[in-house]
Amino acid sequence: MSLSLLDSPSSLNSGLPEWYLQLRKTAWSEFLEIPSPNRKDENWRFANIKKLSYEGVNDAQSIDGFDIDQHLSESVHLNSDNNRMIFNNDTFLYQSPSKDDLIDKGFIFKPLSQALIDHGTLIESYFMKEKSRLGSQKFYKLNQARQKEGYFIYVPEGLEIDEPIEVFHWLSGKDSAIFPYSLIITDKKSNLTVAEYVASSDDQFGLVCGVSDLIAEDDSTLTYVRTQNLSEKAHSIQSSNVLSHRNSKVKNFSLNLGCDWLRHESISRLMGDGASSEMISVSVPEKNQEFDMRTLQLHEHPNTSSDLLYKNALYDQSKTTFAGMIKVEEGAHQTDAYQTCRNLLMSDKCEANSMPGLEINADQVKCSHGSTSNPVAEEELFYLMSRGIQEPVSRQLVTFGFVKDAVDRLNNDKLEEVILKKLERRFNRIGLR
Amino acid sequence: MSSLEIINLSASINGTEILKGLSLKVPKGEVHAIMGPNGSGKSTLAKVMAGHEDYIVTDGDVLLDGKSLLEMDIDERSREGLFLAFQYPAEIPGVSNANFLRAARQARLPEGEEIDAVAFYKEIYSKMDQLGMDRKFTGRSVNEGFSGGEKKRNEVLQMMMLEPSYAVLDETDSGLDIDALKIVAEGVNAMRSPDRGFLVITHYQRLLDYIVPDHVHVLSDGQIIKSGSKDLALELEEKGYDWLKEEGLIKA
Repeated sequence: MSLSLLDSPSSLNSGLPEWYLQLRKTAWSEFLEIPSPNRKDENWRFANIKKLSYEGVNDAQSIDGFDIDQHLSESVHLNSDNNRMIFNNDTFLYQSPSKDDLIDKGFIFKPLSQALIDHGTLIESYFMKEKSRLGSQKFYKLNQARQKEGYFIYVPEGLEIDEPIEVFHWLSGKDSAIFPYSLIITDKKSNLTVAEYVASSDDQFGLVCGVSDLIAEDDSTLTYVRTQNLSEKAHSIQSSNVLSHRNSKVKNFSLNLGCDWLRHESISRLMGDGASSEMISVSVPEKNQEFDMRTLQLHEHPNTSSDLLYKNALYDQSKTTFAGMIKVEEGAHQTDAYQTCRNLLMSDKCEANSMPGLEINADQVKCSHGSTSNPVAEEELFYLMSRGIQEPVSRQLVTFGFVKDAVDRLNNDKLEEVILKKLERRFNRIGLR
Repeated sequence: MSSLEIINLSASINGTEILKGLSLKVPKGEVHAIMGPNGSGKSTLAKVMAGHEDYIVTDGDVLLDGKSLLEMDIDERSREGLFLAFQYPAEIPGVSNANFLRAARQARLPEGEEIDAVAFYKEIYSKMDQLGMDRKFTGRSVNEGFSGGEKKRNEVLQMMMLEPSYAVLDETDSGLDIDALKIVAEGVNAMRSPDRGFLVITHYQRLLDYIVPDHVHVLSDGQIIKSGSKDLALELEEKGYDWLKEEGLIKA
């Protein structure tokens, strides 16, 4: 039997909280009611709406050809003792044993399906409370309606977890769709770093329609890194919501390499005195890849800061769209908000669209936004070549430096190394141009 | 044959002729200085030799040990043995100094051969020590956020690592305080050898107290108008460039 995303979602195992099942049901009818995106909508300017046709796409099933042992051994980038969780096609595969002392302190790291049963009340107060503000309402609801798995992390007050948690999502099989959900909460004065890796295990077409909610309570620090290395044919629609409360520090880093087409929406809400949020993204599209990214830095409270840096190195006929908005709400005085999008054009056929935006409704605000699109600077090239470095090697050095400059912002040597390795492989594959 | 020879070189930028038939020969083992007032074409000469594409060579040639440089690409000229220490070195964000120099060394190896990383670091550290450069500069992005003096030291470090047959130093003294100037000059002097020629371009005589030249040339309006021993630099320092005007060598 061939399913389609337009068929009603299959029912889930019993034991899940009633509120969750109810929300899921409502989300499905909302999904059906919300009209498909239209290019006339400001949020879909420059977007390739044609890519949004998902006939024949199914909820991902378990795949015979998926080599579990191989992927388990590949699903570790940092120390294998770190907290780690692995999924294939929205099915939980493995979790490294959590240390008892962390669990005793109230630390929770569980697959969503299990967490909903064990911690339903806690999850309910945070679960998908955000409005989808940047255009993908329909897909936000689709995620909610077809959600099957994901993970939940809760770091209790005062607990600092030094070693990053790693989560792996593998997508496999032709026309498979997954709807992962990530909910991460750092309670007061806690500290956490999470690295989530989304990748294909084959070269097939598939869809990832994901949502992540990151909530940093007062005085907490949360760093979230997401790398996407899906197949060249895959599509990805991702919504990421950051809630930054009083004196919290959030860093949201995103690396995009794979996908034929992707749409990513990222929102940071600055909600308390001293809240700060950094949004960093690196993309290296080639061939006919299209990356469409929309962001919102929403300052709702005085004395908050946000800093966005999106860097794209575009090869071949690839295309990127960046639409960023800084919104300073009434009363959110003493806001510091910065937004920069830089495009490095590695071919004369690529296309980088940038639409930076600013809306300020408060006083004593420091805001700046800007975007640039340039080929490799002649002066930099001349300098490198004057040291004997061949032109294509010089170009690659500059390009690698261009993206590394953004990766450096993570200030986490181990994670930077993981990301730079992925980028190195990418540039080696692209080769010298 | 063993020389860097500039023959009747003319070059222009945006249709304006800057070099007007300049001739000069730097044999291996010698240090030649070029002095001249602002706008005389000093930096143009350096950039033309390195192959900057904004400049068009309209006449003449530059021979490195008998081979025409002008036939070569920018990177080839360097591998052939030419080094230019820039007056205003470019900043390359995200590319560490160490990786940059490794790439430059790698470019000189036959295909398939790899740099010995341990030996490379040992070498770069000892040369940085010699130049009084903090070792953390290996990890910093090339020239990014460097002070004027740090940039110039970095130029000399590159020269020491690449060991060219001919080095052209373009206003290497500008931006340096006297202590930094001495250290940089020591680095250059340590590189002086019968197998290497230097062309030191400078506006002021000061640098030549520390890098003592074998010959001094005066460049004016795109041509060498006077050549002499190191005493010529002192004379210029004392009398200024106007003195040459009075001699009728510079058009008033």
